Amino acid sequence: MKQDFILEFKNITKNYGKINIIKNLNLNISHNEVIGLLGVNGAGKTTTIKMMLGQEIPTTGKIKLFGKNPTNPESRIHIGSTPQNIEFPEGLKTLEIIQFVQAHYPNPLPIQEMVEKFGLTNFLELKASKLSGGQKRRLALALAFIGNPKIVFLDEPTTGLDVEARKILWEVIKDYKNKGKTIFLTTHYLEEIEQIATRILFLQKGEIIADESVEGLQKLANSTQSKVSFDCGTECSFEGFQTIDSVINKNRNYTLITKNSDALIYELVKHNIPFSNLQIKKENLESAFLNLSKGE
Amino acid sequence: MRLGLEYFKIYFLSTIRNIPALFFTLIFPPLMLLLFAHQWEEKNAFGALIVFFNYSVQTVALMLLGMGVTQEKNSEWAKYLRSLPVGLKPMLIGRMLHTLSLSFINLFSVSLVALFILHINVNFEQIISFATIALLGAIPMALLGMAIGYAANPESSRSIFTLLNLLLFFGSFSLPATGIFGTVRNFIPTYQWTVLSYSFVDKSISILNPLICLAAYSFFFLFLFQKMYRKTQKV
Repeated sequence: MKQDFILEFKNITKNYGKINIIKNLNLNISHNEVIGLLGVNGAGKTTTIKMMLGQEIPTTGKIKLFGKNPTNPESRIHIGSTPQNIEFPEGLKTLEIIQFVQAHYPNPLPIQEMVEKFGLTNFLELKASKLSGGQKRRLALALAFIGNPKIVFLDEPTTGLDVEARKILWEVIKDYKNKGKTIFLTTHYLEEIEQIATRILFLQKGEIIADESVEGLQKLANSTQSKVSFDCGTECSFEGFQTIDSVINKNRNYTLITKNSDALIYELVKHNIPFSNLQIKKENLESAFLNLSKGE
Repeated sequence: MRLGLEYFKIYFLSTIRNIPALFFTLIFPPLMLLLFAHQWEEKNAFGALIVFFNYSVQTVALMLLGMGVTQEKNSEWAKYLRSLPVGLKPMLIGRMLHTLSLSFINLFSVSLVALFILHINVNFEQIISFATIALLGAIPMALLGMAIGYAANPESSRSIFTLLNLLLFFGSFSLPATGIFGTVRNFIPTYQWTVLSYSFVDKSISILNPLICLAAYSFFFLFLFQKMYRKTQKV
């Protein structure tokens, strides 16, 4: 049985002149996914999102958004998006912009709901171009969700958001996912995405080098390791330890890399190592991201 | 149509809240009429009024709209709009209504100058007729403005539109009726536009040729505009 994908990328390449930005990209996006697209600056993340939205045409290959070419406006009825940078036109008030964007969709969400959700009540009568950077981001996010889309594309959505607004956004995303909808986002705040993403795509030099769950990506990047660090009053020896992968010693502050932190602590106690200020840090998505970026 | 009205609303609000832009839009055509009308004093006041009615609309439809399109087309907002589920038609309707409304405001201010400062002997029926024809001419002019607006880059658009606006203005009335220019002027849309307006004063003038010519130009400019618009979308 053929699966009903929201978005399909088949053998997509994108060149700017002679520069190859995206290389043979193949991916499918289904309903009820939260997908994080990771990659260093210049990896091709924004170009990928623009092609998904029909704002850029691939050099070769085929993209289908809800079964249609994304350049066809009908394919975009069920999508919402927030670009990385947005400047609103001079002279228009916040409320007028929300009303204008809402008018494009057949079954939009109520304006009041979006205004309350993104804390825009106090800015409705202000000109959108005069809002602060964070307020503009909040407005842009409200616009992404107002059409009640089945998939939302968010390009670096938390850039410029204050802590409170960032918290609101993650709540909205979780809520949206619980309704069976799909979120596709790029972000640098990896620890946050780690909590909500169901799937991570890692883009490097225009190629998807990993398409995994968070756990899968950590495994792939060899990031099941933990760092156990502590201070030691004397020079310590770890001879005979079974669970240590490597040791870093900086002025008797030791960092031990291990795959089993519990067993390592047991060994430290068993060998009477006089440790203090013990810290255990599990490798997270950020480490995986860094390892993959380095090609480790 | 409803979405077209929404586009018209945002274009119109953006313009009328931009006081300097609105001021110059309103002041420029009546000022030109004031400065040049004396050339026709006691000779062809109707001619002057027709030329400046059409010119005021041309300035809005061709120059202001075209330059606005060029400046706006690469903005982040314009790029964002391309991600919305909307085709070309509502945007086109919005732009046309916006142009017609600003042209109407312009014609109103030109009429005030003609009636109360220059005391041109023109009645209400004539003003309505000249204004209607002038507004009809806004259609090919706006389509041409948008086609060039999407084709030009921001650095060159001001020169292109200023030159074109002046050429079309003088082409509408100043070319001689004989020789090569007599033939060439028949292909200038603004000349045909003036002839159409003048046919209201001189009943011996046939409206068929100017109507065919302006309709043909409208279709051609619409085709050109669509081509240019689609080209800018294919990045």
